[in-house]
Amino acid sequence: MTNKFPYAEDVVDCIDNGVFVVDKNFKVHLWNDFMSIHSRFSADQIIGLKLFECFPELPQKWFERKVKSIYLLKNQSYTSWEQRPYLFKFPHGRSVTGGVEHMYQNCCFTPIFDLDNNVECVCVTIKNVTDLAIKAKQLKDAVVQLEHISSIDGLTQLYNRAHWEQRFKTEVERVKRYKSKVSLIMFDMDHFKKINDQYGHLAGDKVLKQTAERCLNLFRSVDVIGRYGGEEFCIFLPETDITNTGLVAEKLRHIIADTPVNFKSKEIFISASIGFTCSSEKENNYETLIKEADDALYIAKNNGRNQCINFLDSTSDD
Amino acid sequence: MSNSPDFTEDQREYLQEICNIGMGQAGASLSVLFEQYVTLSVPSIEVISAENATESLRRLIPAEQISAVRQGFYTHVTDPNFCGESITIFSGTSFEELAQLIAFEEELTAELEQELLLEISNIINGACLSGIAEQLLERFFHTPPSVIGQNIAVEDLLQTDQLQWDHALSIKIKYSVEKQSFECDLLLLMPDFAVKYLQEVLNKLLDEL
Amino acid sequence: MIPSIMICDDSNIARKQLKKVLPEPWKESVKLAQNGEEALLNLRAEHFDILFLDLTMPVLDGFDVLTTMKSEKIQVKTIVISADIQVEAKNRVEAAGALDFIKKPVSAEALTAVLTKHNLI
Repeated sequence: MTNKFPYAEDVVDCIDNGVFVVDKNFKVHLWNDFMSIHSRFSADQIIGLKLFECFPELPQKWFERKVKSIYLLKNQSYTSWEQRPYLFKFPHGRSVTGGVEHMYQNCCFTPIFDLDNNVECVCVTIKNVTDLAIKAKQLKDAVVQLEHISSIDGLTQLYNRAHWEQRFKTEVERVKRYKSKVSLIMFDMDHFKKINDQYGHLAGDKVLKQTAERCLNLFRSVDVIGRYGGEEFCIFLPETDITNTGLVAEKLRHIIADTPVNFKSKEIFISASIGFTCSSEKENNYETLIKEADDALYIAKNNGRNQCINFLDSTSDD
Repeated sequence: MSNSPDFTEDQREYLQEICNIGMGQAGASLSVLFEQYVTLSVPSIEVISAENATESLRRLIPAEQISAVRQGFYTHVTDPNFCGESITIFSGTSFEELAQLIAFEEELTAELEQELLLEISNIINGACLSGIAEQLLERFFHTPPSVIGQNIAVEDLLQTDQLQWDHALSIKIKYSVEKQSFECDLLLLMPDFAVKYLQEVLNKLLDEL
Repeated sequence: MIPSIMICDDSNIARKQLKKVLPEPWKESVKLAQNGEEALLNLRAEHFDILFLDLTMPVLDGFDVLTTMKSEKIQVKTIVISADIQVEAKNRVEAAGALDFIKKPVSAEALTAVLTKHNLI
């Protein structure tokens, strides 16, 4: 046995992580300075006591189960701030600059063996990763913001809803000013939830991507296509009257329904419910036009799906 | 280095036997922890090439969508040493079933679902590797586990354009707990530069036989 | 009196490992079988005093061998040697007619203990 370094315990106190040891009854046997500084308990106060008596807010059952598995399997166990922000609710060190409520922690549970290679006790280390966590959160927020300001929907590469609506709003204003016209088609994939449930989300994604591609091939470059919702798409067609829009809508219905989508050697049959409308001298408010197309879409859905409904026809049937 | 590590018949058999035994021990520990009988498949051992990594993975794991956790393992950091990564693959087990398996009582949020995956992976992987390590008279150290992804395709397990090996040893073990309808695959992967040391250890053990 | 022994295991290594820890005089008369089917063929053909049987084997596994032996009334003292050491496995095996169960890798001590326990040595 080598001569033990006489200051080993002081070294444990220098470590910039929490270090403490519990036995299988959760009696505390070691408690370093980091733990003392951040909790209300000094080593003298807590050693010999049961951990949960001093920290009743700890998730006891979870803790017990984790330690039990270590005694049994003799291996290490971990927690990460990404799943469990903290084990002990300690204050972080950012009392002035702030931004967080508590310390974020990564923890490691390590077995300590006796001479017979049985687990004698468990050593827990608590690492302060608050700065890391804050940076990661900021990055996440930045990505969300970026998605927001970008105009493209990631999956389908069509315009996202916000951008498309803005374009439509501008178009409707142009129509008002120049006494022109614009038509609007909105469609929703039929039974999309079923497709996801049956074939998985990757299949659902492929269906949306292919539908988007088929739209891009069908419509003219002046027509503006967007992804309106999860499985809902929208297209506005400048200078197009209701009759021609009806023809295009029917073409659209065919290119969706006539060819299945291939996914990993399976054929997924798809269809869409389509509603369309056109601006007029009376009605040229962009929100109302969207509502009209949406109402027509709703009728198509209720009438058995895989069909096109002209809003102007539907209201004239009184 | 583009030579596939060749195992002799004896080395292969010894490795197979080591994995069987290691797995048996792991199964015993796990059955005590889960309080259920754990069924183990016979480990299947093969050498895969980086070129065909994706096809090999698809063959080994024929599921469409999986959730996977990775964890590194190593003996010493300096030569000669073992090192590798284990990937625990879940396909089809619900989180409620996973939670029941380890008496996890907190309400399941997205984060706690991930914690479940990590915890179960750590347990299964740790048990299996320590079983194997004992037969090899070694001790493995681990890195903390991390989630590769949830509901991803098998292709996404490896960064196939950035692999630092030409060949890797792959050991696949299937665990299932019938009563809980829980099933998962453990894939142990060891890159070619670590396999050499494994072969030396096997030779030593074979000599003593 | 040297008993006639059969070792049934699909792994050549496992067969060698077990043979290595057998009492020295027994090593002469050991018959080897690679799977359950081979084991049964041998058992039907001649008498064996002791059978060491692995559980996980292709074609016919250890459990099937035990059940078949029971139904064909082949009486051989069987010791199961297995990597699967869960309590339930032990219970199932003993209910199927095995004498005892030793976990792999078999040590000389564990083997001697079991053989002594059942007066085989």
